[in-house]
Amino acid sequence: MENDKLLPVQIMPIVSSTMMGVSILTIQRSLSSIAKGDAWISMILGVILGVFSAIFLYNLLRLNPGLDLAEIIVCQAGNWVGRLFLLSTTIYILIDIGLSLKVFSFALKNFLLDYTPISVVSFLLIIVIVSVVVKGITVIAGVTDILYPFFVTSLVVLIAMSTVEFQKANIMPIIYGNIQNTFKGSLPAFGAISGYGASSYVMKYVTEPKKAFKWFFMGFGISSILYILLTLATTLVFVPEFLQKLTFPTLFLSKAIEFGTGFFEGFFERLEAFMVLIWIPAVFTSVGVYTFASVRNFSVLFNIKPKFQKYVAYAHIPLLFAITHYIKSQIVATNLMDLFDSLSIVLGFGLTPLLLVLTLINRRRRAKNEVKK
Amino acid sequence: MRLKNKKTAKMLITVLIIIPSLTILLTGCWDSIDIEDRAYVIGIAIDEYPQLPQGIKNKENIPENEQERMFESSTEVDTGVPSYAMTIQIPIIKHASLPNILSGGTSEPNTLKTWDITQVGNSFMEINRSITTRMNLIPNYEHLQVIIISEKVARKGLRNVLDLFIRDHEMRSRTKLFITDGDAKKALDVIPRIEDYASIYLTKMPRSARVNGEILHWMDLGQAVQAIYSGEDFELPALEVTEYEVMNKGAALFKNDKMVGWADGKDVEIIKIMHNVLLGGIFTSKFVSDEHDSENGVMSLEIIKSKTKITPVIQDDDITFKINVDIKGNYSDSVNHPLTEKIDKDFIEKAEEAFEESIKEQCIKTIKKMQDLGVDTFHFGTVIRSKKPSHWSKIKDRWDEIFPEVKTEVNVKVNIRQIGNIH
Amino acid sequence: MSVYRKRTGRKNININSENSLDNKITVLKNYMSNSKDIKDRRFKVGGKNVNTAILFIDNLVDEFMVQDHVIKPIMTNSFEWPQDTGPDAMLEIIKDYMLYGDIVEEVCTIEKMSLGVLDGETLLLVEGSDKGLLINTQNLPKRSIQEPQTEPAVKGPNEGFVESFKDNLALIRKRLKNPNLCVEITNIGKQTNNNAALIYIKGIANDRIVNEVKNKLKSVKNYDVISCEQLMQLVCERAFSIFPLMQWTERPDKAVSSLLEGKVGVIFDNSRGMLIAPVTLTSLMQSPDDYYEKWFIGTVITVIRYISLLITIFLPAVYISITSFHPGMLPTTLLISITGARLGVPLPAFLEALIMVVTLEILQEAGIRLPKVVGQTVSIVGGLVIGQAVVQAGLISPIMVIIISLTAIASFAIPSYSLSLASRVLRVIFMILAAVLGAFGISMGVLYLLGYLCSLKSFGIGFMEPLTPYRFKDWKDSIIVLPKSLLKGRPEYLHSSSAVTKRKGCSKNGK
Repeated sequence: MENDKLLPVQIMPIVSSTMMGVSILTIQRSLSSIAKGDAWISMILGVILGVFSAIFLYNLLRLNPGLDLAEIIVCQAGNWVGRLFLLSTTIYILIDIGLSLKVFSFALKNFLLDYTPISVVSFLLIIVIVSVVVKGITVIAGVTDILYPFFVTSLVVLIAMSTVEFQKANIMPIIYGNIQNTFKGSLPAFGAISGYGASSYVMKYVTEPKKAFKWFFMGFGISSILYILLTLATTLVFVPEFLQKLTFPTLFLSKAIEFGTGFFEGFFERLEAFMVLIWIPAVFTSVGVYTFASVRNFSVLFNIKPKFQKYVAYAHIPLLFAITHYIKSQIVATNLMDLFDSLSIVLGFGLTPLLLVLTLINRRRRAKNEVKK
Repeated sequence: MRLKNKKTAKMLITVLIIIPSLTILLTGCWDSIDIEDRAYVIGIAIDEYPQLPQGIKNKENIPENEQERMFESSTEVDTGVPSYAMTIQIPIIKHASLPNILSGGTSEPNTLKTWDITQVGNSFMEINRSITTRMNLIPNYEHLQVIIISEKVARKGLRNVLDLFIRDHEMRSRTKLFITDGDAKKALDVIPRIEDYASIYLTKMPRSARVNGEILHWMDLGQAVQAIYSGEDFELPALEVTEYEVMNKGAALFKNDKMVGWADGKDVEIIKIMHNVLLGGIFTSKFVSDEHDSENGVMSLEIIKSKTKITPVIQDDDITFKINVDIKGNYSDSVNHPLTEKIDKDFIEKAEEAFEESIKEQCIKTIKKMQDLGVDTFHFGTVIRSKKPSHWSKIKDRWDEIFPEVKTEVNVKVNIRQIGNIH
Repeated sequence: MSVYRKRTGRKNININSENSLDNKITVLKNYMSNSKDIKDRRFKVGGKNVNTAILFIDNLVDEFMVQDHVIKPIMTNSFEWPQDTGPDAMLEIIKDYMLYGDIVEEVCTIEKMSLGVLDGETLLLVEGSDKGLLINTQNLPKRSIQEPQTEPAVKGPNEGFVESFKDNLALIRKRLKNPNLCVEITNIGKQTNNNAALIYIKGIANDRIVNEVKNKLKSVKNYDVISCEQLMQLVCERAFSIFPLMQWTERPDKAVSSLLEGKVGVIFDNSRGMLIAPVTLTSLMQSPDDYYEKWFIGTVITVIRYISLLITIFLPAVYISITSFHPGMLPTTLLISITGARLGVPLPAFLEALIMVVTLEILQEAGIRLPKVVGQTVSIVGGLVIGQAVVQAGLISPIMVIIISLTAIASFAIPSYSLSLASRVLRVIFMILAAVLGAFGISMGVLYLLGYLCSLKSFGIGFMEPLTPYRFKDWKDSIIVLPKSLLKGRPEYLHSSSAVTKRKGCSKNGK
């Protein structure tokens, strides 16, 4: 896990896939229940919020080169206060991973496998993901690189095929008397796209950080556009009252498509089973990078040497399994996941600016000390 | 036991982890059901209890099937008197006409290729369970093609009926729905001459929507459920069932989720025009010509493209809808047209006017009919909501009363593009 | 001094010059286990009464060279010997004035003398001197240059590597008349003493890779390997990897173009192929034909090859998962067709597939050893009778036969034999995963496989380059094939050491 080096271009698939993760499957439901037909505008607002937060993150990483977020917290905020922050971040990330896995296992059970016990599904997911994480960040980045084009292409194809079903009346009237709700909806939207924060743990290993930021913003852009288009597509195809009730709107979208009337009829049946499979790479990257982040958190928290980081990663298996097993029902898991995603606003607009301010203060203090000398 | 070096240790640990985890295979592959152990339900017919059909007097069929059909199951129902009777259609693979000759199988045209099982109950999961008591295969609904609902059930309300089909993950949301007057089961009993199974035959029927404007091709399970949830009025295609054939017969109109009336073929065409989903259709009009006035002349227009724009014009409580229909078509044929007469520009203009008249007439007739029934199939309410939301919030509670009173102004424009081989 | 001590004691033993010639010859013959094919010939130097002897192994030397170039010139010399020349000076004079051999080496230890004799050289001993001369008279039996058997090409040259060390080096040298071509020879094997040559182009190959291969070869100096494939397994890092970490090729043209890219080659004595390091998945999937045809056709065929790689690994697994777990993914008419075909088959889909895969493996293994005479009959029997009869007996459904045949055919489309062997193992693993967990199992397997592939490193270069990380410039040659005019530099992932300015002139050679 040490001396891994990444190329700057590899940041793009990592950021893009981490942002998409599991939330993209369920976000339209919560957005639509708040903002009705204007869910896509909430998504755009959420993306704008995300841009601000990304700029904070970018500056924070630029001013602290060679450190990842865990080390920055400890370094800038002092030993004890920093570790406190780090502890809360660690717990947050761990629970977030567990919830995402649980919700995705439900999606898998729903669409692919019927009778397989959910513990088997989530256990297998955890084992495979952790075994790839153990091999190091280069391997995670490599797998993401290979799977990324397939994933993005199939999403784009899904959106393109669903244009046949668009009904403009579903989103009209645009923002009529709904402005407050639309703004309220931007909060879960921001939570859904907040995956890019995990890239702060990856930036440390990139060879040329300056160039990497260009790719970072490109990945951010691609994912945001896909999110917005997907929300737009689901709101255009389904009436808002129906959309609120769907548990997995994106997958239901693929159910509602019939590819060509008569041309390829019958060839793409049950497209949603195929779509769930395609989603696995995105979930893998998001959970994988978050697990990697959590491993780093633990190592910095307890001062574990890099040699033993492998065992910390292995220790995540029972931990994650316990978390996913603890929540039993689908509704509870989905609601909790939305809640936790919204909590990410604390990280994005609370912790990051705080650290940025601390960094600037520390720098000035150091500069003053040098001048004094 | 001393481990020689790190590599051996790693290998040993890996083996020790893999072997116990292989025991997971012993518990069985939970989902693995072989392909021939499933019964693929391709069609469902929903009737009202106790109306079980009396069987069709079809002399060519083997008598034992009549017994099957008249079987009234005596399964207990958990809550009260059963209210629904569901019939599922399962293909009998042995008798299916398969492309390969190797697997043998009778290909006599009169062997029954499907097995229709009827069960009664209150909820459809209950009915499903009782069906499995009669079959040795596990029913699988992933290939459900069509759901046929009888008129009586439709008039009682569709919300409860369709809930299972939209919630269950096996079902596809593109399943077609049909309404028939009489017993729904009869539609599944018909053995179409050019297809093996009635369900697949019915699914493929909307394919001719490209030519015939009287088939509602875009309404299916997903659309119906969405309309129910959003409170809009919708329509579903209707079937007419005879002994040997099953035919499309217009549409059934629904308000909230209950059926309120029928619409015939011409109405369906107009509905499709209003919704901008017309793929193709024919309009006829009386013949027009100056010198050679034939008494029974009819000419027809083949519609290629149609575009409609509905704009609400609101003047304090007085709502008028301006409907602009733009149709491009081909002049396809005319009866009793003297072959020597040349089709020139004047004639085309006159023909276009004649078509416009006839289409406008039909539109007004259909709109009036819908207004009489009180069914807003054209989604005028949605139009107001989209374009004039401020007014909509005032009147949306009273829309049911306002709708029959709204005025409409129909303008039709027809463009004839091609006239075929003969001038 | 007993003979045994001499053999197992210190390696470099001098022969006392006080011993007579006979004694020396006896000692040497004892050292070489008194084999009867070691012959010696004693004669006297012409014009002087000095005993000389030559020692050689008769099946390794060219008799005419021994007679004409060694014995004859010494016997018939008309040299004016200076007064009292000692035996050492005599040896010098013989070497300088009389021996016609092209390679002459002076040796003094018993070890080197025996090595030389075992190598097919002739050892010349003079009475009174403790030195000897080794003269090159090698004439090893070898095969003539034939068509490469495992890597045929439609249009390319049909020369393949043979077992002779010199011939293989010659095949490469004649294509690369480059003064920077560097050949380093090491001796491998304590008992076998075979030569291994490390070939690279100085200035193009990355020094790190060269040093790593060199060190690896040095570290296996004492292993007795018979062929270069065994050498490959010793040299590569991970012993348990199913994927080949060095590429084995029989074609000199492929070897030469790899060298030009900056890779390093290893030729081993008595082996039919050459090893190339480092290797990536894309280079395993490339075949020479891509470059001998038009570039567009090459791209299409490369894409088809990748598709067949996917088919051969995943098709039985996908079939099992779709029919047993997700029949909803099939169109209804196809579903009825497959179900109709499977009616009456007693086995579940997984067992059926497993039996057919095992039968396929047996057929493939048997096919390697088929005598040519019976070959035709057996293929007819195997194809028609087994396939047809098994279906008609109702044991296997016809769909399964189609799938297995497709899989088998696809596995022959893979250019590298080691890769197709690896895919056979993977096929069974994925079938088991599919039988337990359906499509989810396959996807988990794919994830883990990708993770494993990405962590494989072949001499410091990742196995999956240039697919990951994205090196867009390198895609021009690996995944698709672009016309020659667009192929400018060398692959980026090899980090070749030559400067950028040098790249312009050297476009890639045809493979």
